[in-house]
Amino acid sequence: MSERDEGVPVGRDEATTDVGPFRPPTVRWARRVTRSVAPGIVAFLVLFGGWEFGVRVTHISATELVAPSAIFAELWRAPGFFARNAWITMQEAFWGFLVAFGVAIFAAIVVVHSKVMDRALTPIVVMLQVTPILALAPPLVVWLGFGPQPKIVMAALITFVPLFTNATVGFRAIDPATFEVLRSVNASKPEIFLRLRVPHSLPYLLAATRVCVGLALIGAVVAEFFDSSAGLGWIMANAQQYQEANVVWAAIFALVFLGVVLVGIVTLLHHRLLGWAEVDPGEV
Amino acid sequence: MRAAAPAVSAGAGISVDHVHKRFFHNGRSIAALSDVSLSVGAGEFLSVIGPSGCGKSTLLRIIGGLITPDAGRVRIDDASPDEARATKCFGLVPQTPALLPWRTVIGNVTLLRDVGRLGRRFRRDCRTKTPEDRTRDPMALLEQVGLAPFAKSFPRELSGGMQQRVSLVRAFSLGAPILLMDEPFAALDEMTRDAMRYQLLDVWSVTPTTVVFVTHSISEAVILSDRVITMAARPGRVASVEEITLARPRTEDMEDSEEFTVHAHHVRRSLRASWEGRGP
Repeated sequence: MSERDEGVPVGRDEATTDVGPFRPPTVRWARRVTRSVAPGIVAFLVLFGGWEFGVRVTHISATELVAPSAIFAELWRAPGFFARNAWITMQEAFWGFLVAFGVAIFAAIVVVHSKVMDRALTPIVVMLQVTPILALAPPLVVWLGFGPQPKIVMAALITFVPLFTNATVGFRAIDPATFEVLRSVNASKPEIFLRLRVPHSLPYLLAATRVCVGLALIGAVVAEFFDSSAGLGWIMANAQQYQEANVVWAAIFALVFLGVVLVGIVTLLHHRLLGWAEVDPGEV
Repeated sequence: MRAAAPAVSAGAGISVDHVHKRFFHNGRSIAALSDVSLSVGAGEFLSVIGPSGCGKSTLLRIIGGLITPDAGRVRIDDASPDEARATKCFGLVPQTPALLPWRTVIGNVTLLRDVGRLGRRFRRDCRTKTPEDRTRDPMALLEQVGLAPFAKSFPRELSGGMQQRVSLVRAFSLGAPILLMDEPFAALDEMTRDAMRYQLLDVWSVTPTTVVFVTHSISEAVILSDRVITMAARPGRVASVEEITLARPRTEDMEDSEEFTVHAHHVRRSLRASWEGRGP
């Protein structure tokens, strides 16, 4: 608290180190960014350096394992092609996620407010949870055709359970005393939902969304393996047929890049929406 | 009892008639309250004290309409607890501060006033005034308990004692004719507790509000109240009633007076009588 009052943002690690000479704010900012990003970059370089080194030393054939340099070269050769298909995959994943989010929130509202519905829906959710969703791709393509529909349904199915589970836990994670205070002034159920349950569920929903970014992309890509005409999954399936391993790997890298960007966006959203839920560094 | 002075909002009287309540726990039925009757005058400060499990918190919740009794009747003036709740006649102060972490201090204080503004209109007030007319200036109340500089702070930036003061201000700012307090200072350290008593009395003395105050502390009950009700457990029932004759306004010095000691002694004796002879 006392540190907060000085109006200077105090980071956890700075509290112990910043007693030295005066540094302009831009330098301090640059230092902080360097400190938070540098370990990640080093780990990245070690991983891909090791991979590249391993491939070159063992003279392993390109059909078995492709060197990172070849993969990046492939991406560099046709960036527009990979970007266009990544955009298609992302849209399918996004719409699937959105559908699952809507259905999960609706189902969670029903379950939180009705014991009967809770008992009715829980077995279905457990069933969905243990179903190998990816195995549903071929029948889904047969039912829904070659358009974006089976991909969207796939992304929705695979993200539904984590979203639903976190929504119900979040809606229930309310403080009983606060709940009573609201009831003491006769707050209606919709009002308690909006004023108490929704804010309490946000940390859970955002954590679930982080997980679901990856899951939705996987769902869309797997559906694209079967008889599609666009998307990163389509690239992978085709390149596999023509034994172009570096193209398969380039598509995988494009997918990873897409996922990292999306997780980054969700993390930014998290910090914007949930400043109140973060622990005050001065208190720890 | 205090003379009820005309003011912004008068306190409301409470009557509890032959209330029974049983709870079921692990297949066993426990009598939380057995034939409890009491009445609280308008503007009276009543404390309820008793051992754990005597049903004092249950009684508080039944008065506030948060729990329905199995038998018996509760009236708030002429209204039922639910009707009183619908017109915001209760200011509840629970044991924990129960603040919304995403709202600022001032946002938390005005929360109860804001509730119900989404679409619903109030039917009528149990004291003829609409809830909007009774509300007290939240900033002035924060000023009174020394929290005005923290109006824009978030609860996590405040100490436990400060958070509990915000909870008090939240209940008072509603201007409700009845305050229900469920061991509001129990989670605080001894020194903060002692200071809070007199801050509570300061804020309370401005308007004649009826208070039902549940506590474990004999000295707290005696120094705050007009009357102290002692309850006994298994089944929960009223054991005795002690009228506190200390003059108002109450001061810290009174805690050393002989009159205080006599009252505290009476309450302690009846508390002991309530559990002696029915041990395990």
